[in-house]
Amino acid sequence: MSPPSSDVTQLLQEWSRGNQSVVDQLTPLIYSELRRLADSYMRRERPDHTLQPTALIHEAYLRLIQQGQPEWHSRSHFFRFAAHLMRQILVDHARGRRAEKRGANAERIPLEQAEIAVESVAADVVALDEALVRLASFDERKAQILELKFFGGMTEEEVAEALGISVRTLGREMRLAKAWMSQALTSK
Amino acid sequence: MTTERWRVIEEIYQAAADLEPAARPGFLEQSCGGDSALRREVEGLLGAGGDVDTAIEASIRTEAETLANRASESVVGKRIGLYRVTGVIGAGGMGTVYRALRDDGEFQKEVAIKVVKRGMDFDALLARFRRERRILARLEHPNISRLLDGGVTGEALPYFVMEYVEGTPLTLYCAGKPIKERLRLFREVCAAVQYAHQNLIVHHDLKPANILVTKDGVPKLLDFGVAKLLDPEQLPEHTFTLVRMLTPDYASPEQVRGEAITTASDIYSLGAVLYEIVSGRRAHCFGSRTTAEMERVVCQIDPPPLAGELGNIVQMALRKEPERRYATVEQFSEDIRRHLDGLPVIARPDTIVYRGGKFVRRNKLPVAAAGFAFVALLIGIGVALQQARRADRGRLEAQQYASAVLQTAFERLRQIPGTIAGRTQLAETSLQYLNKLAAEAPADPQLQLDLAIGYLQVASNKGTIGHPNRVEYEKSLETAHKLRAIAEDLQRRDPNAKVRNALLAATYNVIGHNHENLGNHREALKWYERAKGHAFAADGESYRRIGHPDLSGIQLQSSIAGVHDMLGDHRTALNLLQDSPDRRHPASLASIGALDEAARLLRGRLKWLPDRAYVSRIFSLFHPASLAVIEGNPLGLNLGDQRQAQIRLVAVVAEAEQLFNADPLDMWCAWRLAMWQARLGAVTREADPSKAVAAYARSVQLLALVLERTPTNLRLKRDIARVHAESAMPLRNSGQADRALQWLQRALDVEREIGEPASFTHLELGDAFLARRERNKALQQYTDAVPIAEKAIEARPQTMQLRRELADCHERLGAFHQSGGNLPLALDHYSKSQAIWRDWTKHGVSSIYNQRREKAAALAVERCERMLKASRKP
Repeated sequence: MSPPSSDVTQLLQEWSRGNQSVVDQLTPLIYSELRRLADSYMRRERPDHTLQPTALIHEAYLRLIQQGQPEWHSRSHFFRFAAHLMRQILVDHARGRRAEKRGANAERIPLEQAEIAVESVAADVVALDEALVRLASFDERKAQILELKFFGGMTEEEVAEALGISVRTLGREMRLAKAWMSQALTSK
Repeated sequence: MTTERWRVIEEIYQAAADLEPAARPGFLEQSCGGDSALRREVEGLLGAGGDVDTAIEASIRTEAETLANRASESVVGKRIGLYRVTGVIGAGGMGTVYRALRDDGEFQKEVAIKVVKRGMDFDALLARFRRERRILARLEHPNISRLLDGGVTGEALPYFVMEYVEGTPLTLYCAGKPIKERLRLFREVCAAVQYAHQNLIVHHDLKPANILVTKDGVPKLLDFGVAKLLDPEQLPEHTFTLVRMLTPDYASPEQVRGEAITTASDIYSLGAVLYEIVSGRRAHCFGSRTTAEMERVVCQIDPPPLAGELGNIVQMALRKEPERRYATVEQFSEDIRRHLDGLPVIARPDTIVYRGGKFVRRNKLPVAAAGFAFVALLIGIGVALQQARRADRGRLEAQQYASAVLQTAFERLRQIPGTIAGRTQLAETSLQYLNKLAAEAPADPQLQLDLAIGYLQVASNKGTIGHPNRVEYEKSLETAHKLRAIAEDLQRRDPNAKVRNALLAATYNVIGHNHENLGNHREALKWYERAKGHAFAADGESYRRIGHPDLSGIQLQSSIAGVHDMLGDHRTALNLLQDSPDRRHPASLASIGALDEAARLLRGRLKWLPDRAYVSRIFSLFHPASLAVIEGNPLGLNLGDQRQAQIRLVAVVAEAEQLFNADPLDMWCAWRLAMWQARLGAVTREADPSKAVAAYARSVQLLALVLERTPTNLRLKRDIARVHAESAMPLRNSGQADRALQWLQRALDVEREIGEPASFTHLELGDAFLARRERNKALQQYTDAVPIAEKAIEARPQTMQLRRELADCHERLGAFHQSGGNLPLALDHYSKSQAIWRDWTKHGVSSIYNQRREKAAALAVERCERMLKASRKP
């Protein structure tokens, strides 16, 4: 049921030219592929299975884009799109879960058990998303760098190439972006 | 944040980040002008540490997994790792236990899988699991259900795979059985727990549900090591918080309070189980299950006393203060045996009833510490001596018996933590006994050989049992020379006997070792060389005969290399071990700058398993600790991976704390622990000052303790000065500037006392003054540091760290003058630093460290030149 790969390639090219109207067509195509892959990953049950969303993107790319035309441009477009989509999917999911939890915990549980549940303080995806939005408000490129690296799973070389900057410049931008992010995620 | 403001921040940040941390304050002062908010902002970003990559990746992955996983509610019929789940065994507070099959086609094995129902940072858990598995894998005991495997399920829940045991909880099984049968079973349980304790594994959660009795009547302990694996205390970074799982009915007071848990805690839990087995009811009764009520009952209320001697035994195990309980499970169990055999027990207030008890008390030996091994030994020696006195004919036999007892006794005591006092006492008593025999003994060679073996045991144990001070080394040396007289005489009579050569090699080795510890390096070399000559003429069997570990020639070569290292001659040290490259000392390699090679060697050694002896455990920590230092101690030559270094050191420190806790009299262990705490302080000093301050504070506290016991140790004082100086920077960065100055002053005082000034201390003092804006004083300190560093290089030209320290001096001076506007002088110092890095390979081996520093130095020179040029233009 995969869509003809040329469709995806074409839509991506449209999108990269600035045509935002194709987003609605692209999203379901890539989303369903990502979900399908995620499910099959879990079924495979490898002993060491940890689900790497970035691995999903790589695999989705291989399936959706025709192998015969290894144009790096389309690859780079795809990754930018998929990285953003992955972020959207995960953040929506996390928000949904949060809402569910709040509903379920509406009643106060008396503290009778010896256990006292404490929520994890690790950065969650929603906090990460909020910080990225804030960062983008004054430095969009750095927010994009982080999105590509973490949600898109791109290497630094790939990110540099996708953004048309040198690896060295990227390294410098990245260290500041991470330093800012580290503060933003811990200063709550 | 406006875009414009952010651009300014970025510009300053990027320039500052290119500088060495030491040069940053000066630069920031200059570039931020009076805008303190700006400076704070940039400093915040520069100091932002932590592992943001891992945090972000983990949050993304966790979310992705829950997303992909919503459908997998029921586990039965599915797989967990390599196992197919066949049913549910039970569910409890901690999680669910499943029955599962490992299905490899040919071979089927039934297991129990416990899936913990709490989410954890599974990377940390897995790392910990891998580390612990090595230890847990050693637990092979018929009464302990083995932990086979573990991992993380698709839902990101940790799971543990254990041997499947079908049985009845101990308390249930005991109901209706005769009391003797119940106690016999309980002692079997004790033996299993004691076995684990000897392997330094504490159960943490002993309760009837974890002690099952199979239908054959064999007790099996479940869940060993699991509680500790889930204990967040020792994990790096508290990125998650775990519920402290308690079984309040069997938890010790210290456990309920969340304090450090030791073997004494398991003894308490066993006491609570015994209480229930004996009386049929639980020791405690809780009004409600709130935390406060639990703590009140467990910590304050004594359970209703049980009658008789058995009641005393239970009561002793259930004492609120860990140190007043039985010292070991073995002792606890032994007391039950004595009760069963109708012998007096020790659990009777202020009565110590056994032979030799008076002797022991008179000598103020903490009986509990040494346990029964020591008592048996004293009795053994006593018997031997009596026999020896009775008749000359019996003497030889008696003495052989005593030597054998001595040999095994030291070995046994070494395996039990908490026996420093016992071993000291044993050495003293044996020495008295041996001296007496030496005075009376006829010149029979066999007798003399036995006498020598006895001396060898004392001498080789004496210098190494937890008192790293001069007096002990000198005493050991004295004993060793007595031994030498006998050994040389024996050898003269029969020069070819392998046993006698082994004895001589071991003797000379002990003498060399003591000289090394006393700082007489040349003397040590002489004796090691002599030992080497005889080592080749002995074989394994002959070492076994004298109860000494094999001394191969290569081992002695390695000791000799070690002394050369101490003398600063790392190249000779390396050359000596050229033929056996894997034996080379990582320290020698690191000293000449060969960091990659040193790290490779150490990684290989991480796989070496320590032997079971308690005292060897501390040695096994040397490898990861040294590796961490090379990986990322910013104060030494390092590979720049502070994160990895921190992970390693956190684990090392946790285990060392545990070892020290097991024997708080072991000053040698305390000293090592103090130094590892300081290393932890060093690797966290830039990213997390408060963590560093805590580590340094613990280090200083321990060093003070060691100093109190061993006030004459020069190396110790050197360490004390250094640790105080190192802690200044993080202290200042966490708002304790006065304290920082105090500790620097203490460092200076100690350095003066031992006559060893250190450039590092002066640089840190300079920084402290600069932070107080006392520029003149700062300059004075920086300037003072230079000749000290230069002299140090002159004395030890091969030690590359010293060159780095001189470069540090010049970089501080460069930054100082640059921020003061004296650009020509700044350029001069930056150039000197650059020259050191440029010439690095003339003196040592190149690594990423000097390459990075060379780049940074070149940048500093370049920037300074640019500024100079700009300032000259009208």
